[in-house]
Amino acid sequence: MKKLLGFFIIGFLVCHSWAFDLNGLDVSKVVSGGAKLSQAVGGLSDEDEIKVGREVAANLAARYGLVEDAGKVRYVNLVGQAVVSHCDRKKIPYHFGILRTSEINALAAPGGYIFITRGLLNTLKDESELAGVLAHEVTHVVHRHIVKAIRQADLVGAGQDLAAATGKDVSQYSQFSDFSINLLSNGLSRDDELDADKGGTILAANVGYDPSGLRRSIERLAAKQQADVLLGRFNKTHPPSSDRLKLIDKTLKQNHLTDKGQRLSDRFKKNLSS
Amino acid sequence: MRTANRLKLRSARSVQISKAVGISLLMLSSVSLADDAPAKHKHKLTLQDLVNNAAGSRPEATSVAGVRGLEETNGAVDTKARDFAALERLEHVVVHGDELEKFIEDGKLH
Repeated sequence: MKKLLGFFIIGFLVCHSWAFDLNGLDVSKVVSGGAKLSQAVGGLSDEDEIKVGREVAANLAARYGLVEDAGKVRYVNLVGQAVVSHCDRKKIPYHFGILRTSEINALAAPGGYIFITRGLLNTLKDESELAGVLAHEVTHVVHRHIVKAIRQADLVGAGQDLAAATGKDVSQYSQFSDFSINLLSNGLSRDDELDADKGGTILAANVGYDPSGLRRSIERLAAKQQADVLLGRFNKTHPPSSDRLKLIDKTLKQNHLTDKGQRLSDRFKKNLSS
Repeated sequence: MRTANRLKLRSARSVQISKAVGISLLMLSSVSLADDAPAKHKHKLTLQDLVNNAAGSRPEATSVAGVRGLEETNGAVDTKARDFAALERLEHVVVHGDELEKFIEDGKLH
């Protein structure tokens, strides 16, 4: 009986080892992929970043739909462009869209494609809060957080050379955009999110908005129930609100951003009321 | 008597082990058969179905987008979907310099 069991175990292992047959794949090419693609992404030009960003933005447009109300879209773009006029990366064009979903979130694709969801827009009370949220996203683009994440991801590099090794034609942009789409869904690093909070708060203040706009919007969301299904992805992709509020308070204090700028609640309501 | 009992116990154990091996082999073969068989489309009731059933209507873009986003929260993201036509309409929204200046001035911004 022991012999029978032994045969059974050996047979089981042999059968399952077939499942990992690499079909003659050149493993050395696969292993070298990470380093090669890291170099490629390190030299990603603005033009290439915009191409990747377009793919990501078109994906978000397909998955959620875009709000096409001309007045609302123009207003969000005016606030966004006012923010951009004070940022450190003005060479690329920026586009601000509203995603047609009740989910509460905002996203920055590479290359200047920035989105806020209708759900988040509905929770905001004035223009300084909208500017704070958009300034947070603009900071992600200015500091090239997604490009940095692509550069650090060895898996994408392995995938690139995997394609070469198997003779399949998988474009580099497709690899980068797939990675970026998943990254936006799973969240950037905690450090990058906090960096965007800090940069966004200062940026909105430089435009002349109340520097506490972003802080108030985060505080309001923190007061909502954590179990709120509409906040699912927001909670998943951002650090805890308590950490964010602490960092923003520190930023306000260190940069002496105590002067109250513009809140513009009337203009906000006039432009976004349905 | 003891010897007879031992023999009975041994034979009972052998039967149990044989049954276990037999069941395992059957399970393995069914797994491999399932791997070979073409995947059949199973209709899973989604939030979108519930919305459509409730409304008694065909899916529309608005509800699809909203519900799809929520469904994705805990599921896999469709990385292949693209809507370049909608994106191009957004890209055509251009804010001109004078319009931005007036917007900034009206809001007493910098």
